[in-house]
Amino acid sequence: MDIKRSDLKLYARRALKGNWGVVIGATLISMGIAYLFTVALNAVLFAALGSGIRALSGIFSAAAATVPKGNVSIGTLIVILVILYFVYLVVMLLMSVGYQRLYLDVAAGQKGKLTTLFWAFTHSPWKFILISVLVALLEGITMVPVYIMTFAAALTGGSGFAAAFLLIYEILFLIVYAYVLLTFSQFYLILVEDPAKGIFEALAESQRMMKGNRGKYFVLCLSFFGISLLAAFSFGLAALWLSPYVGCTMAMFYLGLKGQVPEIVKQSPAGRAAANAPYTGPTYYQEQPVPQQGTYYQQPAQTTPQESYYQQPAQTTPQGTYYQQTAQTTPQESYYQQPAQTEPQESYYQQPAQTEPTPTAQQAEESTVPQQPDETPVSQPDAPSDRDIPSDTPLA
Amino acid sequence: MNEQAVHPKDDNSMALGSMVVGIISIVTSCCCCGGIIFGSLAVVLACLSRVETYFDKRAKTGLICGIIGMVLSIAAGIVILVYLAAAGSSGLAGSGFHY
Repeated sequence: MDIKRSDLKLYARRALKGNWGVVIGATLISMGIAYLFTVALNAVLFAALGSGIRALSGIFSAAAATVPKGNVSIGTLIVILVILYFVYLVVMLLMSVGYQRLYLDVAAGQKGKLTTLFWAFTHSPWKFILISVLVALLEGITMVPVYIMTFAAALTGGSGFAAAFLLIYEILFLIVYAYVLLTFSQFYLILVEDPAKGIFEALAESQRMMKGNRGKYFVLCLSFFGISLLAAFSFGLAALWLSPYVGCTMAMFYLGLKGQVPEIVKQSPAGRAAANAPYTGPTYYQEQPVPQQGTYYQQPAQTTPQESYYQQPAQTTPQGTYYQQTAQTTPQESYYQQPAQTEPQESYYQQPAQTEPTPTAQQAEESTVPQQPDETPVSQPDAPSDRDIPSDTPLA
Repeated sequence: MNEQAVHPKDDNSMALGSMVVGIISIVTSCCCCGGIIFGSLAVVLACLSRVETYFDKRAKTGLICGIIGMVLSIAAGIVILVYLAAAGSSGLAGSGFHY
């Protein structure tokens, strides 16, 4: 696995973001159920002892009032106590499996649910109970030599051999126990992810997954020592947050071993939110998708006005109107570009020599008469007299 | 381009909680163990609130306040112990002084 330890923790925190309420609620529910069982167990225990339970105050006496008394024998109370204790163990065991499932769901990027806490009650509960019983038996068997040597040392009055044997055995036992724990550390998570798998299949898979990764897992477990110490300073209050964090990091380690770390936890939440949120950048970039762009691409011939659009990005809307109005001013532009359409009037004033005919005798005589300035065709172009207009000049 | 201007503000309620608990730890640092309890909680919450590669400003505030609260609480405890020891050695304990 090539994921760094700090990244695993970061991914776990990202996965827990938005799920803290669920995981802390699951912890509180579990604590509440454990408290109820403890109260009931204490009540039966006190009743079985036959001590002055009525003298006890508080919740213990209240719970003890529900316990059968009077003609109930001490043997019956002991049987009730044992059964209740086993029920307590089974419920706590199955709820711890539900915890693993919840952490696995959260680490996989899913939304955690409180009902997942009771997931193991409906998914192969006997398999998990059997596994726990076998593990407890195995641990008990490994401790048999310790019991024997302790008993022998007590009988013989103690000896240096027994003390040395116990010391060496405990050290060796711890080393082997740690190795086995690290090797099969993913066993529960494999079964929690797929309860249909067999016990030995899960053991083999865990061994295969942890090959070369035992050291990383060991260091990962040790890295929680400091923050656990801080949580202890808070009188266990911080454990409400720390316990899901540790569990989710372990689940993330499992997903990392399988190469199934979800992409959603690899992304930064702020970056993800920025990618999903509407663009809130500068005004210039924000106004790029304005519909005038479509006009721009549909009318690429209007390049010159759009260049001025980029030079003045703040005035987008008026400029858009300007572009729409430029189409209306096109005839005026064509007027200046096509002066030939005004040819009649302009040619009349600009080219008088071409339109001047050969003067007749009468016209020559009249031409000697001085003309008033206001009668010139230049000053009154709209109402030229017939005299000033040559007869052969075509009118427009 | 400024990154904070583009990214929307992250809703990190745990960082806010860390800051609040950190301030409470400073306020209660003169009490028995208030500074240690709330200070350690503030530090834990600040550490758990970091979902980016950097600390949130409120988480950083909570972290610093929590550490200050813990230090002040320890200092207050030492001062109280020294004062009690001095009082005991000067005979105040036998003259009706009770802590």
